[in-house]
Amino acid sequence: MLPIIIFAEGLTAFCALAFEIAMARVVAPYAGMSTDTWTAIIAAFLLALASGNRTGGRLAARMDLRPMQFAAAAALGLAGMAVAAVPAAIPRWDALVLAGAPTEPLRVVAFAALPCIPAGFFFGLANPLLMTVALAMARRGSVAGLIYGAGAAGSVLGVLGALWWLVDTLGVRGTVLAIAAIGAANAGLIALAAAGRRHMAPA
Amino acid sequence: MIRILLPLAVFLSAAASLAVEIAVVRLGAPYVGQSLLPWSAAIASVLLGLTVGHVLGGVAGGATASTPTLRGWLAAAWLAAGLATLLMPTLTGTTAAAFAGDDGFGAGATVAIALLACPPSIAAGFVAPLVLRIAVATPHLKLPRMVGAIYAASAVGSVAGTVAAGFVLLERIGAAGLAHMSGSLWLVLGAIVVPTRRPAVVVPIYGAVVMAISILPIFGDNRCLLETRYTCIRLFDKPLGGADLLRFMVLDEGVHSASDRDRPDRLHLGYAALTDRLAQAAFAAARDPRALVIGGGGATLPRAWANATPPVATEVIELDAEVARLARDLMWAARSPALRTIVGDGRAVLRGMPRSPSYDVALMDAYRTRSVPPHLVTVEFAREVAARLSRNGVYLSNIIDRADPPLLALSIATTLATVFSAVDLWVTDPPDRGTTNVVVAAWTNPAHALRPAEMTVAATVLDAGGTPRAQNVRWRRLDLAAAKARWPHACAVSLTDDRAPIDRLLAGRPACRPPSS
Repeated sequence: MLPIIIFAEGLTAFCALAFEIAMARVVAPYAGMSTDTWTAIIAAFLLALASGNRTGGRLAARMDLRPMQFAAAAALGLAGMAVAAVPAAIPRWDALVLAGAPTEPLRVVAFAALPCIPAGFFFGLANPLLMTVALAMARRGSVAGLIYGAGAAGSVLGVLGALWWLVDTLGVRGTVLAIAAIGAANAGLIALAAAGRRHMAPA
Repeated sequence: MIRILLPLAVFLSAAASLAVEIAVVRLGAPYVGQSLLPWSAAIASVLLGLTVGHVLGGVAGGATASTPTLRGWLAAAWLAAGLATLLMPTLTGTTAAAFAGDDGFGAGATVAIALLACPPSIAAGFVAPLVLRIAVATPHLKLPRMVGAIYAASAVGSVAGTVAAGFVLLERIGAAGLAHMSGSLWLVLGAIVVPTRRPAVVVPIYGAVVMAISILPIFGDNRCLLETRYTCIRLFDKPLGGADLLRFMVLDEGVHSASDRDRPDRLHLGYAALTDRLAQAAFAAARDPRALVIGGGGATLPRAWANATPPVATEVIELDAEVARLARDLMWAARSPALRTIVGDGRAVLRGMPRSPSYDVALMDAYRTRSVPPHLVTVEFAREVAARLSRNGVYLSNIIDRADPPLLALSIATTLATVFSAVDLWVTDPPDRGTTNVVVAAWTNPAHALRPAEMTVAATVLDAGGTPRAQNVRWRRLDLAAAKARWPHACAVSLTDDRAPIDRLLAGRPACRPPSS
């Protein structure tokens, strides 16, 4: 079970970073590619991630381990759905927010930032849930290093995979949908693992 | 108290890690630019360093380490991260020179510079798991909440580091200053958490920290006249005949512009002289000629057109406000009332512009030596440009590409051919080796297009001693069919907002199967 949690943490980080990179390309045809757009995307995504982390930590304090794993799976499934909705939502979001004044800084920031928030929040929700499960199962602090390491390694692969391979071969829309699919598969993996382990100690 | 201090430690460390990532790219930019490769190498270097640090931080001191032992490791990690970060600016130039190849700073130098960020990242990677282990070992803390708080602190710290570096610090203290600030922060944190107050231990540590913070920044080199959010700007002058002066503007690693102080009409770079000849054909067909330039840089061509007789009403879209300011103040672009500069992204500004009055010439000069904004090469963007061109207008793109085959230029020409009725590639004759300028001319009306087989323009080159010397440059025109015949095995793709693999093309890797295979 622990290896699955570590793998899931890496996959979550992969999806999060690949989505961040892909969002810059999603936004560029409408709002350009500038410090404003990059910063809006990174800041919104990471702040949503932080908010999800905080909420996930509070949830974890109130849950037993098995529900906690299902909660992590649900969060990742919702993250996948939020990612998948982006390509279809962006043209409508553009018409609503940006098209009237495509260089107005507040509109640019709102346009680039808001689509990142749902996915960032749900990805962030999963992290502390998975870490808490891992710490409880391993009953030793050193597993934290492995979880963090898997997260950082997943981040590297997410950035490089998106920049060097996914966007070039699948296109921007295909990349976003592939990330959504990986997020959903990750959710399924955790749910299956939780379903297979009926007897778990409380956190 | 510890509920706040532990997340705070992670917050500060995450902020410094992101600042280091940005700093190492910008420190290397004057040598290797800021294309996909330097950014990828830096991200990989930092994140791999963090990965190793995280794993080691999970086992440091053994499974049953006490809180003072973990604090000792935390202090050591921060002190090591600080020292390694303070050394980055000092080592960048030496590293670039040591790994330079015969043709300049290539992939070896790029990776070597990025690896400078790895040691501080390994050390910084210890922090999060050590902090979490301290939380685990602290009995009165509610662990799940602490886990959430530590994750959140890491994410918020990353935002703070990115925003502070991108919006404030780079412009104020530069990349070297950013590295010094991050290194100093880590050293101070390391000194604070040393798990003892015995003078025999702390006095040498405090002394070393103060000396490192005071002395190491002195040895960092700064090659930039000005650092902006986007680029390192350098200017250098070459005297011309008489008392005239030629001033070059270098953005990161590549020369962008060369302006003649006394004669705005003299265009010294070969591509600029050719572009001007092509543009003049479109201006001649207009009663009140108008031009739009995307990517102003030193504004050499806009200045030439705005100072012509009659003047061409020229609008420049420049992403970087500081580049625009230096073009105006130090590249002599302020002297014509016919020249107007708009600061913003080319695509976003163009989108907001009315379609009338139209422009006779649109010039794309935002493509750099090693990087091209993907949203400025696509068919959707070409349609935006075409909608604002006059009936006899021309869209000119200056592309810096591999000479043989120029995959990016071929793809851009193929893309433009879906929107414009006549598209030519202008290449130097004899062909250059390595990288070269290719000018792509896309005409709205073939009947009014300037399409001779070749043109020769006067340019200025710097000889081995750096002295300017006049030289004629011959350009040969290839229409798209001729270009495809010249490079039969080079496949060209039509670039779209969904798929524009420009870095792949710039690297010489085809994005499709060659037509003959």
